[in-house]
Amino acid sequence: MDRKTDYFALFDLPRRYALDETVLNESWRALLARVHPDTAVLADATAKRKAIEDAAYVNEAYRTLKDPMRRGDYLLQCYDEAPLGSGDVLPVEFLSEQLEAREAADEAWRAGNRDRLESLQTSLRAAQRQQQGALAVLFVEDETPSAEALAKARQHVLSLQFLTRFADDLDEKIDV
Amino acid sequence: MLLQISEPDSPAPPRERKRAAGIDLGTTHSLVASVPQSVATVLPDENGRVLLPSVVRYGEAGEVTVGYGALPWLARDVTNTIASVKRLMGRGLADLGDARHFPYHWAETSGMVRLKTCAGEKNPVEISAEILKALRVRAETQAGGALEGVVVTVPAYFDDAQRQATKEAARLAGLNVLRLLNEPTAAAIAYGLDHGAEGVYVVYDLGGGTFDVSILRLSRGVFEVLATHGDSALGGDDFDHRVFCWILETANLPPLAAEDVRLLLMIARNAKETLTQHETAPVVTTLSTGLRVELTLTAEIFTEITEHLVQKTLMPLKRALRDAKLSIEDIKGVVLVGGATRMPQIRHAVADFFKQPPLVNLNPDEVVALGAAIQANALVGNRSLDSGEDWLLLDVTPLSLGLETMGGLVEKIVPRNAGIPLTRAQDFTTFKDGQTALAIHVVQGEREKVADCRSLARFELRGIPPMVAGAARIRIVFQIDADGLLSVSAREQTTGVEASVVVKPSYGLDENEITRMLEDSMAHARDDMQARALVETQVEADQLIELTQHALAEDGDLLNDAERSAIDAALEELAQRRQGQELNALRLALAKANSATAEFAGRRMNRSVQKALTGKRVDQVSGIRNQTVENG
Repeated sequence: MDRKTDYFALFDLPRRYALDETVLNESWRALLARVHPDTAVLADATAKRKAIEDAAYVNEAYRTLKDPMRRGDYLLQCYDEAPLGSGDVLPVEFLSEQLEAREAADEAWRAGNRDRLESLQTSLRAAQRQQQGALAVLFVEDETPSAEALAKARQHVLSLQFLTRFADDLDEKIDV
Repeated sequence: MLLQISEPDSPAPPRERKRAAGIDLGTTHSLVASVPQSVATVLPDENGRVLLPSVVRYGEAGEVTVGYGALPWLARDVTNTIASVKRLMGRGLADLGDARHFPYHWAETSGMVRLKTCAGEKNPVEISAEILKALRVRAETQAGGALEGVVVTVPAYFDDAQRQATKEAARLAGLNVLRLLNEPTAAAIAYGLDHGAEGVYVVYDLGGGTFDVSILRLSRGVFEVLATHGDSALGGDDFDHRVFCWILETANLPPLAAEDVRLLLMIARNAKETLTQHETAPVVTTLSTGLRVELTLTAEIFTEITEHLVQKTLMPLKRALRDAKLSIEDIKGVVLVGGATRMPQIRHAVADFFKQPPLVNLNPDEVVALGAAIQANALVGNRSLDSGEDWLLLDVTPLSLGLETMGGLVEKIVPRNAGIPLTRAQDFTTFKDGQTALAIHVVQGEREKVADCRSLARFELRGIPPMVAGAARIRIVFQIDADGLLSVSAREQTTGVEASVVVKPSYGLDENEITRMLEDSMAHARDDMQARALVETQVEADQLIELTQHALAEDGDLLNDAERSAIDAALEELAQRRQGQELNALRLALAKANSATAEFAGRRMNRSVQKALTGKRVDQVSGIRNQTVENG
């Protein structure tokens, strides 16, 4: 298996943001059925190592495409965008909005207000879906995004990263 | 002339069946199973008994007795007769908080525990190997020859040290380990193939000394583990111990000799087992001191004194559901595994939790060994002989893995419940000018601080050529194979300096450490998150201040007076907030400073690009990749 294959091509998926999860899941299983180390138990050490590396590659590709934020980041890199880094800055309005939401979450948590935490989580999910919707328009099949579109997409992926972290944090808070 | 080698239409010559077996190495008892004729079956001993008690006795004359033969010695020859050795696998003496509660004589050692016996010092790997040898002989006798290989099961919640120790024990017993298989996954294979199950199933596996819960999706021959959780120090033994404590209290017994402790533990276990079928159990015995114990344990009292143990199994269920992003309504069936699930109160608790009665139409003692045998049979290539359908097993790693970073925090590289095999790489850099070595500390656990996680390995990447801080690019790669075993390597990308280590810790997590870590992580999650966020933001603030001051010294001429004083003011506020403990105020100051310096950073970037274009190579000016955008 060529471990340099584009993740989308690996799973027979078009290179775009909108994802057909059924195709992804089925291709993932079909690929692993072929390369999983269980198929190389009696083989020599080289073949065993190759099986581990191939299966790990397939699993990493699967994880990347399945996750909305990672999928966006991966698409940026497909179009030679630099990886997200500390040079990236989000608009101050977005940041202060998020700071407010975080403060609200901290407060609800201290007060043990589970309903409030859950309603915050609901609006976070909506915000995430909004970013994903925007990305689906920017990355479409058979079309190389313009520089302007890429710059926009970058902001959406960054926002999504921000929102995803916050959502994970909230999940943890709701659980406790 | 052409020689016809075979008729084109004749069937291929029959391939010989390879000998393989599945072994369930349990805390209380162990089993071996195989697939002699397309149907998996557990192998009995010459007396028709399927279970081999996991008890090993070392005799004066150097003889080793395993199983039923060793049982009578449990209470008579305590220090030379070892039971529940699985609880010691991969553990160090310092980790056994309750080492005094074991009746053994411990040898002084810094690695895995060693027990002093009349046959010399023995470690848990050697003792387990005796059990495995007995099972190997049983399987080879019945198969009529040496085994090609075996699948050995481990609790899904076993950490790296415990898995390594198990694999070592099998090797020591002369076995070729085809795969370490998680016990609940093995049970799911046996159950799923037998019943043609499709959908999401939970395996609740309470053994003698370990508790696992796994959630699997079974669909068209694929067994996909969605999440696993557990407690590697919770099992039937703990219920025995509760009864033992109840006997001590109720009969008001004085401190006991080791023999009497063993005796009462056995009486306690018998009483527990009696209560599976009856409402009361007699607790009657005579101690070595002549003291007579005559009590009656009722089901009601038993339920009451073990209630907290039953409750302890529910938290991992909740967490596994959350990690799998599922709710109780999504669960099609709950499979009970492990002898301890025969206890009625466990069955009630599981039924209450899932709002459906658990599936009990299989032998909870045998299902794991049967699943292991089916897997072993498939791995050696017999499956096609049985014209069985193809199936695929996709498992996960139970505990998060990470590295120590600045401030004693854990940078998680592999989250728990990630699909294996896997490879994860992350780039790090040096933080001091001229730094030539990087210490790498690998930890396992769910907590945010290194001190609260299990240390797996430390190693050093040396020989990094001196560069300015942040210029080196060190890629650290974690790899987990299909047995769930970890290896870690590090490589400096610009020069190719390399260091790697297969993580082989000399001992594993403390008896209670995983439990404690989990409980702590619940109790401390709130403090942890606050503390982590504060430390991270402080580090970020320090970096921004330092970077900006450095930049101002170098390229201050790019700014006019008004711009300069705006940056100075933002930095001053940030420095002030940095000293306090107010997270949100610090975040706001950081956001302000970031935006105040954004334009300046842009101008500097332009200048450096121009510089680069007039002489320097681009790869000398481009910075190191930052792994994450700090925007929390």
